[in-house]
Amino acid sequence: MQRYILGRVAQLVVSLLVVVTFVFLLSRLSGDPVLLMLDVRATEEEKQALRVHLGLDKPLPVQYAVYLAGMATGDFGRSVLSRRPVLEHIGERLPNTLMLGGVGILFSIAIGVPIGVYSAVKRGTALDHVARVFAVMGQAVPTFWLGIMLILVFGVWLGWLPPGGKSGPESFILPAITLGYFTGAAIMRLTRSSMLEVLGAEYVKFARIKGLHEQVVVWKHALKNATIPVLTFSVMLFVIFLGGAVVTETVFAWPGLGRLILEGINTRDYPIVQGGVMVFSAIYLLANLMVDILYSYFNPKIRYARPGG
Amino acid sequence: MSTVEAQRPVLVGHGLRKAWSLVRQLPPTSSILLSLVIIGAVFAEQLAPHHPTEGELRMRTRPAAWVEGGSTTHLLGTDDQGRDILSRIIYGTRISLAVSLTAVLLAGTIGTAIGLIAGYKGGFVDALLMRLADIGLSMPLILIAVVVTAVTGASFRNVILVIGSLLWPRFARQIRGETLSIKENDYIALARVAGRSGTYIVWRHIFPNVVPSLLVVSTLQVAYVILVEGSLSFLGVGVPPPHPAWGLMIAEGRQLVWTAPWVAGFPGIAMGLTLLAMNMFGDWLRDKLDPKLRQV
Amino acid sequence: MMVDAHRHRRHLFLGPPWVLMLGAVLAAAWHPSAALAKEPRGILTIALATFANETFLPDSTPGAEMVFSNYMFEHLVRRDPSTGENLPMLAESWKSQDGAATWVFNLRRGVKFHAGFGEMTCEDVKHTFAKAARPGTANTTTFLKKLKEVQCPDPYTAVVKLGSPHPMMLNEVNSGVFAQTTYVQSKKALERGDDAANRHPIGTGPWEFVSHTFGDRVEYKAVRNHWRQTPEFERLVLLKVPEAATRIAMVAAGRVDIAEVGVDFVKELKAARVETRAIAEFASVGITLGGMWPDRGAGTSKAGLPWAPLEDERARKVRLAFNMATDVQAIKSEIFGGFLDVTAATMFFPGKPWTPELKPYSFDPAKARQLMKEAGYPNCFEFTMLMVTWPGRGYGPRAGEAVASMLEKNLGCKITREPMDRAIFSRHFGARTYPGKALAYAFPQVGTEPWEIWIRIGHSKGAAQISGFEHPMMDEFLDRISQEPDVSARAKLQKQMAEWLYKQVPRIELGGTVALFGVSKRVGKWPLVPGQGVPHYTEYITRVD
Repeated sequence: MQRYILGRVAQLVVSLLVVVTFVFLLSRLSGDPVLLMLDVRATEEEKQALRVHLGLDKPLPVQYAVYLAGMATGDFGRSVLSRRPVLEHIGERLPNTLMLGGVGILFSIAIGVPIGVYSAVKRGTALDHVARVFAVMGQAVPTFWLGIMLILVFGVWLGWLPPGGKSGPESFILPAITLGYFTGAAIMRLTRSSMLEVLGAEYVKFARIKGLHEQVVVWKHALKNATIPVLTFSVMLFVIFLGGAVVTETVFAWPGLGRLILEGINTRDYPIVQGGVMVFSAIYLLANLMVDILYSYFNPKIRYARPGG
Repeated sequence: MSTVEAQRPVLVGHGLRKAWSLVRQLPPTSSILLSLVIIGAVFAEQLAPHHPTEGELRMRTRPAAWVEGGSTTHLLGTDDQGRDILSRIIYGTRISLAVSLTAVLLAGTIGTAIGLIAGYKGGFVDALLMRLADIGLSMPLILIAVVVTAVTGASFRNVILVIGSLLWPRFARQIRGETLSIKENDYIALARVAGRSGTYIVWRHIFPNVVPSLLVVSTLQVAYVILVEGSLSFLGVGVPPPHPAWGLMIAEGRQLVWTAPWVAGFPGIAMGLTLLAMNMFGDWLRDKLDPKLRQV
Repeated sequence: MMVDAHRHRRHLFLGPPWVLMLGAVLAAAWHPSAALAKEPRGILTIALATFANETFLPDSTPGAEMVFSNYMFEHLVRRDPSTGENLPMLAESWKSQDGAATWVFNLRRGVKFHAGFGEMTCEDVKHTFAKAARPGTANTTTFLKKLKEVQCPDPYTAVVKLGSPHPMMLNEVNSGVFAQTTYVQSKKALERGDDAANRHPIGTGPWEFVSHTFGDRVEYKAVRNHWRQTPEFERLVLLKVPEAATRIAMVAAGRVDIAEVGVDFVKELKAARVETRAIAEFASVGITLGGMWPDRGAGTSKAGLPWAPLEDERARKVRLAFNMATDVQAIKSEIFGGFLDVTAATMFFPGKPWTPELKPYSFDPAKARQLMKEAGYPNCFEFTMLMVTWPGRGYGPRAGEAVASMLEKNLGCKITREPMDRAIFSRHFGARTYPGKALAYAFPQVGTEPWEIWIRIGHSKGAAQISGFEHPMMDEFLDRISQEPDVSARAKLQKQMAEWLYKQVPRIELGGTVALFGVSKRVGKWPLVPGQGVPHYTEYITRVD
């Protein structure tokens, strides 16, 4: 187990290195950054002075080494636009993205698990069919479109909720629903199938024979064992949220890391893009790593070895 | 009448019946929807009532035909530049399919090749290739695609290249797994004993057997790529204007959500139905083909 | 004995001093123009499309930062909203000397900087201008390029010495569109270093800086007993909301009080039943045809460009054909909701003293096709149109798309659309890196008279080359006009310039449009200066409760 984790961590570092190198090359390829940083009427001496100051007059491999060293010590450079440290901008925006992801997951669990449970228990009934339609739709509706439609109905026509931006608690509702719908459907399906599996397991039948109350059987024994895959899945969902953060944050004008990167791209603010992509990828990769560890840890074999919970 | 001539109608009838029984097995809803999408993409010129990018400015933001203010000339209304929405949706199927099929073809080719090699060769090659695939899988695809297309510019070519080159790991992993299990079969060992080269074995024996799995993955990936392309176009770094890409139409319609919500509404429904059909079809395909695979 | 003294004193308390004070309080409360200002209360929220560069420093602001910072700073001079004439602000009076090469400003006394940074004096003016003019500055205000030095013979007199005559100096130290980066800032505050100065900026305005979350919001609070005007609201909050539809929804729901909305959303505002305020003569919209300038080396001009050079008769036919293939009236009614002042020559609006009687190019697709055939392009040709989105003013690309579509339909051109962000494009202005491309852009009015804008966009030494062409005739016109101190002589010269432009057909001409704001029910009277497109004079807004 230890070796597996170590191996995966090493892989994470390599992946991060790949991303960082990629963005570095990309920004160098899209033209002399000095031209973009200075006013167009700057003289050649001024441009050269800035190049020396930024270390851009050195050969590419040296620049790369300096860049990496800077990243390692936490110096991500300064934003071209605001002249403030990139890390400061990221620090302001990252919590917003994480908060949104968290709320989205909570919402999808809050919706997905109960519906999944009832759908499994009341298998074959009308409720089950409705739930399954809901789940299938969740895969098909593009989230950015759903977000726009929700804003239209609740933010524009009814005016009940803010049409965008992060303000009070009510501003979390529409983005959470948008994010949570897609993943809520997935959780519902997972819960349902896990529950069905578990409900058929021996110890549950045994518990039923013993005469325990149906509710107790369902909730206490079965759910406990079904939650493990759901929890693991939730981390995976967080990964999915993160992947779609750029789009969601754009739709809801959410001041998160995804939008910061997009704005940086639009204004060719490369330090922001480099730093932002690096942090974003690091979190994404870490979350992925957690998923893999959880999955291998909570192996089904281990689960069934502990009957009755 | 000779026996052959007498048998011809029977043979044709038999062929038709076989085809019909295959068609009957298809899932009804998704097949019909998919057919509509494909027909729309292929016959857009014939089906679309208007030109997709030439609009009549004085006819801008007219509602759908059944709403007051709409007319039958524009069944689903017009957009901000007076272009017919229905025609744009129909041409949009072409864009979605063209981009997604090409990208999947690209990624599928690369991924399958890598998966076959990794699975067959094993050892160091396998480990190296799969590490690469893992790295690729763990990257945030949309974010990287946004960064790259923003820098290289929004165009069909760039979108396809970017998505295709980030998508291959999904194919590689799956195909590698298939290859590993097929490799264990006796006839593979026999072929090797008979002196057949690795390339021959992979191409003649292994590849045909991974095709069903490849089809399943491809179908689901096409749906995913349509969603990614839609997101990229929505953000303005995908298909450039004035092309009727659905994501782009939704982005343009977003500003008009007060007075003309249909401009963003209809393309979204079209996209949703397409994705739904593809996912359902892919699921059906997986259910159909997987049991067969287990028999191998 | 003590009791008696107390009783005696108690009687005194009801005596004359108290009566006087009571009377004063009653008078103050009842008199319409009370000596004491109304106590500011409540929050005024403004939703903006962008915060531009989001910096407060004098040397890092190319121009658009006014939208973000004008509330807390003041200039030497300001404009009267109804007459447009120059009024005293931080300078009480001024005069020009040496043929307008020297300007003397008599500064107001007793103006305090925020947060205890002391009184404004000439030293602050000197330091601010020097910083704004330093080599490598991003500030493009013209007089800064000519600035030799600012002398301070005494704390309240600023002598600005320019190397050469500059008659339009007053426009550039004014509360007009691009002069905001010549606000007077505190020398002491700026000397804290760029980082500190940017994190906690200090000004003299009626609003004082409270906090700033980058890319999201800025908060100001009212300065009580301000020398000029104490705001009626206690707080001013600026929100950055890039989506127009969201801004409209916010103001319709009363979540913000003022929303910056492009004129292309007039219908949406009406549908949402939102009241609007419009600022006239705000921006000029048209399609520039790039590349009509002399070759300066690689990439600055393109030989064989169908619409170049300017004097070529064949090329002129192409440009005229483009104009005649464009249905400007349709664009006016559909995209601008009627808010388009169609012009015959860029920046020359109908009814002005410097605008000659010219009929805008007519819409005649048949004639246009004929012209293209004569020019040798019966099926037009291929070219790229850059659509520069100015955040909050999306009508530039929308108009561009409409024109491109019309050219394709009427002339058979093949046009590739290339969306481009303004932040990137503005860096290429001066470098002339768009030869052979058309450019759909709405650019703001920078001054009262057309030549003030043309000298920036069309002079061979201009700061921002958006006109698409350079010509010695243009330089000659502009040089003569900029040296002419007499207003009516200038008007006559500009008329000649307009007529020359009209004959040359340098671009696809659309017209001038307004800046539009959606306002909530709480916003009462709000004086606005024509041409100045960002929310300003917010300290004068009256509350409606």
